[in-house]
Amino acid sequence: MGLEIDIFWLTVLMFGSLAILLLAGLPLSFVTGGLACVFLFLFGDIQMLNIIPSRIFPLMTDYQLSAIPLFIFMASMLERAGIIEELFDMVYKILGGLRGGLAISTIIASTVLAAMCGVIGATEVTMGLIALPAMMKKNYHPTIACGSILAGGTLGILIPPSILAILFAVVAQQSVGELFIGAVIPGLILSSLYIAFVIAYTTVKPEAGPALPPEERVSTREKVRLLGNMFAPLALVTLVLGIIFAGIATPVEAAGVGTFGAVVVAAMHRRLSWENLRAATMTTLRVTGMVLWIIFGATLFVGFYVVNGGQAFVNEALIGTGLGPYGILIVMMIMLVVLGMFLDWVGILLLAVPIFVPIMKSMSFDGVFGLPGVAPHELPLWFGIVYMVNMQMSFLSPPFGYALFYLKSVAPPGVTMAQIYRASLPFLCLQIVGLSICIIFPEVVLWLPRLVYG
Amino acid sequence: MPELTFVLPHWLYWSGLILFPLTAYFIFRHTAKQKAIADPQPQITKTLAYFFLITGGFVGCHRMYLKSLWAIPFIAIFVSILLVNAETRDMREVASEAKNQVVLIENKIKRAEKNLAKAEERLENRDNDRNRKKRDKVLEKLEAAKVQLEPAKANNEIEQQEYADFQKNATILGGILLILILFDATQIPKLVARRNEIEKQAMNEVFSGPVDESKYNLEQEKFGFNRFVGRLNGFCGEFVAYWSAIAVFVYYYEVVSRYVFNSPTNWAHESMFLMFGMQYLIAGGFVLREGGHVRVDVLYTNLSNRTKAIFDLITSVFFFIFVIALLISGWTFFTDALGQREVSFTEWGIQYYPVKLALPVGAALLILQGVAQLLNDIDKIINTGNEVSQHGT
Repeated sequence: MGLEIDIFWLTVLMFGSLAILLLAGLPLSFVTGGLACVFLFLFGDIQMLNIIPSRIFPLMTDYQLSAIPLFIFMASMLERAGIIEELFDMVYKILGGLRGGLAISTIIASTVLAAMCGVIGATEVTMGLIALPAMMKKNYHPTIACGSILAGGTLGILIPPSILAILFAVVAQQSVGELFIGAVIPGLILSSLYIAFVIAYTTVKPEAGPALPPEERVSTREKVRLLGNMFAPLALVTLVLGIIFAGIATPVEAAGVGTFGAVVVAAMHRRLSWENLRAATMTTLRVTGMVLWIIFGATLFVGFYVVNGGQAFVNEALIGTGLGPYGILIVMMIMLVVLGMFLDWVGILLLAVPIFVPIMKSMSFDGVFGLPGVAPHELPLWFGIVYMVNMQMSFLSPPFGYALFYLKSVAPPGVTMAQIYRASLPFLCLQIVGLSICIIFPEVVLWLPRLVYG
Repeated sequence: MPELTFVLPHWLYWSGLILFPLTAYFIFRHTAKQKAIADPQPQITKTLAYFFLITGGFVGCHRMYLKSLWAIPFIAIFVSILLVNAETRDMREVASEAKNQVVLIENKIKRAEKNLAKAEERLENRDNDRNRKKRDKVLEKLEAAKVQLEPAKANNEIEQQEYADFQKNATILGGILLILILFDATQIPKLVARRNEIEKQAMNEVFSGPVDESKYNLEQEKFGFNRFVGRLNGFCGEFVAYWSAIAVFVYYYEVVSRYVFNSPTNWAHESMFLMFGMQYLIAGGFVLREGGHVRVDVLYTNLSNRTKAIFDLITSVFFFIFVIALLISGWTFFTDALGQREVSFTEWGIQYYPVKLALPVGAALLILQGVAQLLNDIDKIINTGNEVSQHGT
């Protein structure tokens, strides 16, 4: 139809209709796809619709994206092999003698599981099913019990292999390997902050997380045996990440080796059956289908917005606020957390990153408090990691954080939503601390990638 | 190490994509039926042990499966092959550089000899200072080149020898590995039996993996059309889901052939990302059937079923705009590619049009599923309308 419209009103119109349709319950992928078609027709003509397949096809032939189904397949194969349960069982038997041992085990097990899975759903749900009842039985304080599961589970999208990192790399045209490596230290920082909090809390209030009574603890010999049981999956994770970090093979190839390894591990745990294999492929399909269709729709939507000058508009609006680069970064972070209350992580990534990354690239970050800043060529990598740490907060922020609902859906009846909300708050603060560390000391993020990739 | 030169033929790729899922589909249906009748199978099977011997025997996968420490020598030999191979790759460059050097010098000599002959001829015709000087110059060059030739040749010989040595080392290691694998092939029945004995004694708590989390129930569909669409998308989804299992083997082959045999393939990556590309598209309808497309449920979950249906009915306009636009434009996109018999720009040159066909097919599957849900929504609006006052929901 070829209508003309001012970019300000276009922004209002596009994101307004997006919000309305989303609230009305249409899945995100169809909201963005449908609106993109409507706008293409209104502000272009019917011929413009022919760009739809030419936008989607490059995604179908994207080499990096094929790491997503592979990593998901690896994770769901390991899940089928019962690794999540066994891992928690092992860590908890080893650390059971400590105060708050169950909560610490949950966090450690989640951290290790994060190195196997790239999404958060599976870990969160399984931990909610096995660790939460165990902690409730031992009279753990709900804040510690729920909080450790919530916070630990969200690490899945930060610690490599993370699907979020792969998507960010594809959208921002970064190297997947660098993002993977960059996320390691921030991930470990967050994880140790959580553990430190649990230790501190239980030291002050021992009744919040009692240690196992001595008669329930296991002998050292038994501990060694348990550790031996988990040798295969741990070796697999080390192998896959090692291949990527040593630069021996691409993340996609590493994922391919990982899937085969996962099949071997499942066989070693005597759980490789046709049934489990089939279930693993079906789970993989469900997750990849969901993720990719959001990408298809959102690419069309954001593509249209950027082509019509949305990029420049947002840029001017942000610079017009008169804030410095760091001020704008904080504004972006807050926007992402707010978006995270409503949208899921793939949607946020696809909607925000194509607009934010070019803005970040145009600014210079010279450091705060007289500390060294970020070199321009390392900016996208740094922003990527900061973004990923930030997304951790989106999952936990009440009232609509996704992790909160995952946990509620599997929690025993005694656990109320209010308890889960309260549990998320201290961990949310810890995430703010972690995020600030990444922003104030960019070396935390950049040191390891520089070491590996030179 | 010998080089692998296998290139996946196009016909095998396409027919594999069709036949593999069909076979898998058949096997799963078959075993599901059998399981209902027969006892649970023995924990460790010879079939699996041989499977791991063939696919991963060189890293000792079969020994890992049997939890035998003899996996370690396999891994050790394999790692040393990888190390030798990395050296071999470097040596190949050095050796070919040395060879080039020799050829370069030999060419120089040939050229100089030719020039010398010319210069001498000219000198015979006209014996003057200028021609004599020229000849001397050429002679000088020739001598210089000849001096270079010997050391270059010697160097070349050393490098070639070293390269050959490395190759020989890799081959010897590969041979040892092959012998070990063949030996194990004879041992597997015995080992499996022994391991089964050991594990039977150990208490085996039965672990059942999480059940297949499909929330969709075909039986609940009221309409024949919905049952048909549900079954169709279920089949299509399962069909493409099995492709993930193909990827396991192809990537594995690629990595092995690149790092063990030093011969990367030119088809593995491309065949796989195109396969996944088709998978994403065709999975759309299946994921919709399963209710897997994420939505914002802030408001939505708190609505009554009837209000939900009304909302769904209204918003489905946008859904249909998207998928119909995708269907039509995707079809044009496909026919354009078909008309040109478009192939990829890579060495493998695979046909692109079947991949592009996935666009309209995926859209069509979504449309069908969308229509089925539309029917359900209309049904809900009409039939639950009267009950609302009673339930007060």
